Amino acid sequence: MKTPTGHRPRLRGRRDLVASLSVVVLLVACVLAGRLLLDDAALRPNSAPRLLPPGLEHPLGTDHLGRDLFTRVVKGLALSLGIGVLTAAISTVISAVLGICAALLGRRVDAFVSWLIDLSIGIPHLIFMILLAFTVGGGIPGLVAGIAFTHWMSLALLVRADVKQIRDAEFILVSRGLGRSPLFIARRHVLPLVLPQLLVGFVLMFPHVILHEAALTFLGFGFPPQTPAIGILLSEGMAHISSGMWWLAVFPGLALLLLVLGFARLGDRVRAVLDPATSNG
Amino acid sequence: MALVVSGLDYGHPGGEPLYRDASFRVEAGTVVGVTGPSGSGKSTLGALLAGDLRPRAGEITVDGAPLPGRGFRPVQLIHQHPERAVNLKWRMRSVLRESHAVPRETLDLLGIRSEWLDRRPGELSGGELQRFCIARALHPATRYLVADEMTAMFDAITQARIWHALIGIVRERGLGMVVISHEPALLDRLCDERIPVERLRGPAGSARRSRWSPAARDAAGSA
Repeated sequence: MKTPTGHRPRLRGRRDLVASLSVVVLLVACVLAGRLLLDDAALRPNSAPRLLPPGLEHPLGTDHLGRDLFTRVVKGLALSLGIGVLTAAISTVISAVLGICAALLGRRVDAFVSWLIDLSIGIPHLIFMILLAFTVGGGIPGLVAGIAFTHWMSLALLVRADVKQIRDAEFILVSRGLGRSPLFIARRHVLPLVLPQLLVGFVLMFPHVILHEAALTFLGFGFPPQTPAIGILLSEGMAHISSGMWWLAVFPGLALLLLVLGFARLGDRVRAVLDPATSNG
Repeated sequence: MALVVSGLDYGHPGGEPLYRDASFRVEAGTVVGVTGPSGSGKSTLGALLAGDLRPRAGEITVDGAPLPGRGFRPVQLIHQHPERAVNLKWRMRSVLRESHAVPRETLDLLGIRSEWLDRRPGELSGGELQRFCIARALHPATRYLVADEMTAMFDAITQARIWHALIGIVRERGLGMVVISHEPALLDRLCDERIPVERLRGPAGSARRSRWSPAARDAAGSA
């Protein structure tokens, strides 16, 4: 049977979306199952099986303290996922609130939000992030705050521009004339129209957040060194690469790559379906 | 009890003045027509009366009080294109509820069928949608209506039906009404008084006025 050519791009977009969604769901399910099923005992130092290469008993080998690398990688990914969801959600909410307020609440609010955006973009964000994480006191709150408060700007600009296009629409003028508050207009008229943009922003933020979490923990800001976080695994593994213990850096690195690419592709696909105009794929 | 415009000045940002020292009044219970050729600023006047635009100078008072900056506005504007004046994602029931709980009698008078309430704007025709926009504007606190080319998009039968129903309600409630239109026949039938928009331009508008037709100039001169 022949498919009508006019429908092809959209169908292909849907199929890609389903494929990348399945990859991500499978990955997340594996990580969650691993986190629940794997034994914490494998995380404790054990002098007997130190620096074993990948084998049957330890699929990804062990590190210099005899800890099972597979368990540590899975737990590290689970931690990354948790932080990723939380941080992406917080920064999406910040973007939505500030973007909508800037566009709806008049010139002064707009000037203030624009100033805030310029200021936040102007500061090198790695330094800003480290400072914030340090101020909040490290750990999960430090990481989440550090990354969320440095990654809302571009989405806020997008939302602000989108809302500016519709804020003078006749149905919004009518709503205002009927005495409806800016909050009502934002919630009932504006939010549903920018929701696709926010959803795409949320999914695309996710891989970004995970990479930054890895970077921050790699640099030693964030978690105590025994925590199984991907960044810590990588920084420990780096020291062993030159002495031939390749698995310590390669497997955490591959796991991170898979997760990040999976989510980035999913984000692109979601955008291709919801918002074909700005999508480039 | 009147909608009073006094000393109104307005021009679009960056443009030349549209109105200068314009004054007129619309008594409650009367229908006033505003006429003028396309592009002469009739819709801008409607937006000013409804409070969607702020005048540069002068004031608009409703029954003695200035137009409120926020909250419900007693002057309600009915737009030319109903499909732009409703949120296309909402069901008609919500569109009405955004204003008030419109009583059944009003819906019946305007010929709105109850099965339309669960539809979305895309599933109704322009004339049907416009009836909803009128019902929405007939809030209990509405004192004046501004109809900006409200039926210009519709066929004669639809026009006649909509106007018949609306004028009935307006007379019954004693509302004041401003009808903005470029159709003399329509204004002849509806209005107690007619204001050519040129009359509102003031002395400095004379250079622009010469661009309009001689008939319009005469009308402006005689008014």
